[in-house]
Formats: sequence, C-alpha cells, structure tokens
Amino acid sequence: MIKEYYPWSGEFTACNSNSCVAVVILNIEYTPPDKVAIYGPLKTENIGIEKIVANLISNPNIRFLVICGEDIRGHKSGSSIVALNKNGIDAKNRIIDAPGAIPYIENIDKKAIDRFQSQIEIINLIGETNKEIIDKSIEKCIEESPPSFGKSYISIRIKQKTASLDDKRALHSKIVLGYLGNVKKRGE
Amino acid sequence: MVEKTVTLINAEKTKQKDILLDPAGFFVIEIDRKEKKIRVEYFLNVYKDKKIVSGNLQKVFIGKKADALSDTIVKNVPKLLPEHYMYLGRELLSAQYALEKNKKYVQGGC
Repeated sequence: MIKEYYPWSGEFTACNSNSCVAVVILNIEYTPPDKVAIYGPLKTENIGIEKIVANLISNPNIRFLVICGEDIRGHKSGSSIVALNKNGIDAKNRIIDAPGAIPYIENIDKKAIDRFQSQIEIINLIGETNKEIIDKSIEKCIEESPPSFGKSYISIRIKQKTASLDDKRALHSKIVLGYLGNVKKRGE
Repeated sequence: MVEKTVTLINAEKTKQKDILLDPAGFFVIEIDRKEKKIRVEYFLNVYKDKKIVSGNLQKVFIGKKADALSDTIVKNVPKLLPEHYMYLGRELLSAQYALEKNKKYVQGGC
C-alpha cells in the first residue's frame, strides 16, 4: 500500500501512512518525529515540487504540509511550492507568482495541481530553524486530526520495463520444442 | 631505434560559464535509502522562450553500483554529449560511495 501511496520514489522517508502531516525540509538538519506520514528535502522549484505534489496527493490521509528551514537561494523552492498551493499554474505551466528562477510544472497535470490545492493546507514555517517550534507545529496538525480526503490520486506511474518485440534478448529466448521435448530452435 | 612523439596534455576543468547544457536532456541522481539503491531519472529538456526550464521524465534507472548504472544508461540513453557521460560516471561513483558509507549525497554540477 505504501508503495502505491508514493509513486515517484526518491530521497524521502515514509513513516506513518495514516498520519495527516508531511514535512518539507529546506536548508536545515532536522528529522521530524516518526508520527508524520512522510518527510524529505526540497531542492528545485520545478521537478522537486512536482515530486512532492505527486507523492502527497497519492496519500489522501495527508492534509497538512509543514515547510521549514531556510529557503533555497536562487531556487526559492519553498516559497514556490507555497505559491503553487495558493495560485496554481498559468497557461505556460509556470507557477503563478512563484519567486523561483524556473518554477515550471511539466510532469503532472492540472488536475493533480487542483487536487494538491484542495487536499493540502500549507503550514508555512519558511525561515524557521528552531526544532522545538517545528515539532510543536507538527503536533498541532496531528491534534487537529482532519478526515482523509477520500481516494488516492495517482498522477504518475513508473513501471518496470517489460520485454517488447524490439528487445532482442526477449526474441532470443524464444524456443521451439520437438515432440519429445527436445529444443529444435532458439531465437528469432 | 624507433622514436615516437606523443602529446602530453595537462588536465583543465572547463569553466562553469563555458559548460554546454546537453540538448539530449539531463539526469537527476538521488539515493533511495529505503531501497538502498541509487536512483537516476532521465529527463528530456523542456524549453520556454529558448531556455531550458525543466524536464520531461523519460526513464528511471535503479541500481547499487556506478558501473552497472553507467553501462545501462549508455545502452538506454544514446547520443548524449561525451562530457555528459563522463560527468555521469563521476557523479555515480560519488553516489555509490555515499550509499555504501551511509553519507549524504548531493548531486554536483558539471
């Protein structure tokens, strides 16, 4: 189930999938309590944000996204995800009013962004590096205990490659057997 | 006696301003600590107003070793710039080191 919840793997840690809180860690060394659903770093204002959105909306139990630490210089990734949640994207897929250099969303569709805006409330702690304050904020979200958003939303799927007709190794494994079970022909 | 002259060249890093972004795309390298694997995502460039602004995810490679990942990427992503393959080789080795020694890995620039 957890695998299904977070379809775009990467450098994050999944904890309690029933939890309502996810945490984005910007420029600080911080490990959230394991009662959160998922936590990880955010670096870029384009693909980094897409990955977070795709994974958050896959788990309907997540209703809060706590963003903490100092924003990434130049990229302004933290402020850009806040802008995405507030404003969405324009016709060119640019996050409206995002301060990052290249805040474009290209791998998930508009419906996924709508879902992110509806499902997730952002707790903006950008600039906050005090771990006690961040912990308290997480605790407060958990105490609120909002209901699940309903069904999981899978916006991207990454599938294992399967053999195709243009895969020579697959063709080479084709074996023709004789009536006694002996191999009469291998390959194409 | 046979004489042969061979050119000796001192190594020099290309300056950041002279680095050419590969028109064939770019890679994001991460360590998946849960799976204990290196994860390499290959993106095609997305251009807006003739500038690369993002990428379109095409392929994902996973493995534990830089050599296996390098070989697989070469087979599955042909026609990158030569310096891009070299860059990947050294980055993947750094990622493998970080994975094996349980150290932090941050993907470096070209």
